[in-house]
Amino acid sequence: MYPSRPARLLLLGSILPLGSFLSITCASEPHKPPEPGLSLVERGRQIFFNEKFAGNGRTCGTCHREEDNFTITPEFIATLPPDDALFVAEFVPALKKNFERPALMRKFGLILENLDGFDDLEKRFVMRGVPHVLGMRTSIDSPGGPRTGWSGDGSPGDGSLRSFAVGAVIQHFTKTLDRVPDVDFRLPTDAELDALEAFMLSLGRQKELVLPLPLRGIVPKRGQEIFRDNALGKCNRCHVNAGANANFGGGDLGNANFNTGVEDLVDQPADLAGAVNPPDDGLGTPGDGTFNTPSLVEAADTGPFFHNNSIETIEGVVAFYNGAAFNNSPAGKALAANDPNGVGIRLEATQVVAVAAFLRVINALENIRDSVAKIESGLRGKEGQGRLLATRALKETRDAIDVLTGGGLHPEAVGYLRKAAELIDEACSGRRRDENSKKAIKILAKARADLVEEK
Amino acid sequence: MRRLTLLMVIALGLLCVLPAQAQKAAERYIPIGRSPGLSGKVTYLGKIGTLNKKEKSIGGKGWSATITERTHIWVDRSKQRKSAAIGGLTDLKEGRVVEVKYEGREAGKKDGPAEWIKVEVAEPSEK
Repeated sequence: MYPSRPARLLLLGSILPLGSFLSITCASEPHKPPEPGLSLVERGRQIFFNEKFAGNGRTCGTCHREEDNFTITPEFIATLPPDDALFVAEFVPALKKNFERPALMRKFGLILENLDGFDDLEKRFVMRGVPHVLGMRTSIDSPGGPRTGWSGDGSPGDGSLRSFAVGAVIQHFTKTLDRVPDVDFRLPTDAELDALEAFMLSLGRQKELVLPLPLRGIVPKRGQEIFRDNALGKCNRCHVNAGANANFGGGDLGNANFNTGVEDLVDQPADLAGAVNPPDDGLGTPGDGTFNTPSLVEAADTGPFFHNNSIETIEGVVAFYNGAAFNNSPAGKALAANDPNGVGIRLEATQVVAVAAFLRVINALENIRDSVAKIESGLRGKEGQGRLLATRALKETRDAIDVLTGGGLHPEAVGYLRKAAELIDEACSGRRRDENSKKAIKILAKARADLVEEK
Repeated sequence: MRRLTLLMVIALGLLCVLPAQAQKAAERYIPIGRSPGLSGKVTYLGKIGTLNKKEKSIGGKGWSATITERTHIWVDRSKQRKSAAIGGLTDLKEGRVVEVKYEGREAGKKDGPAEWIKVEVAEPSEK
């Protein structure tokens, strides 16, 4: 448990008169409804990437970048122009103070959230990374209700994924810190919430993996064994089938929250930067110190990791569970209490790398699955749609290359993936689209076959 | 071994089956009647008919709500195009429109401790 934060009075009215005036003058911005005739998912996509909700210019896609796996990394942020809506706190006077911490955003990809209230904007906030929104169909249900956001309580209203956008608009889209609906932003309509939910649920995996996979690589295969070994890696307890759901032997606990001690890590990058970075107390107000369990299938290409982007590499993430912060945490102690030797998690360096290699391989397999699905879908669609999907498939294929090469894994598969990427690139350019797409699918199958035995 | 496993399930399970608490902070800025998934389904919307300051309760015909130390009271000033404010018992006055979210997730609830109350201050001179 973390110390509670002092409550302070909100005195925004005295510091934001200009912002208030500006917001009133801009409040009549017309709302363009999505094009009729589109599927719910496609309408959701349009809203996700284009709808600004009459706010400060941000969209959902401002932070959840499709080009960056629906999250946003410091590396990607560095490529954005200074007038990108992500940086509104740097150029909109009404948002200059207490809306974001631009230095932490640019250096570490951290976004400001007032999860414990808006009554002391100077001191009462937390800095969090942007979670990807992939595979959500498998990763947000729990017996206590839906778990959204890093602490599982990211949504107002009924707490559902459908309601999530309402909180996001209030927190991130506002023109001023007064946050007045129909002045500083407009709230999403029911139809928009339906479409956004459908779109988010359509992204990434639609079902759980079933472990163990017949992996070919010696190290990833060993990593999978350690991952699933409830006496060694113990990973599978909270991440059943490398997903986001827990099971300790008594049945599916759904998407659970745990206090794993991430907040107790020493030398967190954002703290080292010397910026004001209050502790994050997780679920609830005041928080109970717990955070929501993310899926691991998508992990290797969606870092930095944990709610505070405190660890850069997937190897570092696995190593975290060896450390004092985890083993002294409530979750670590609970594991130790169930261990005959009183050990939470203790892995050798080779074992850490093996588990990470396993996570890299399942991520690459998911990249390949998604690439093939997108190419096939493109082949069935019109040319423009086909090119768009091929572009997305190319991104997935390149991610698979990065994920595998980052761990020095499966050079033969990487060779196939590079060849497939060339073909998809050609298809994107419109050169022999169908032929190149079909060839790419065959080569992606070869890459997959180097990673896993076909059943 | 089974006992140990059971203990572990209890210890860790307690951490993970607590009801998800929706993000109350942003809820403050959602006007009365517009809370997604709650308004019109779970919350009660009506006018304050009676106010009992001593017992910290409000009510009307067929409904009542108790204000506890956990209850959030927010003043909805959206019709005045002003920011929602954190309110208190003094904002709950007879005749004012309120939306009450009772504790728990039960639909159609019309009495009991309130998780939050939004009270509308519609007249520009009122607040």
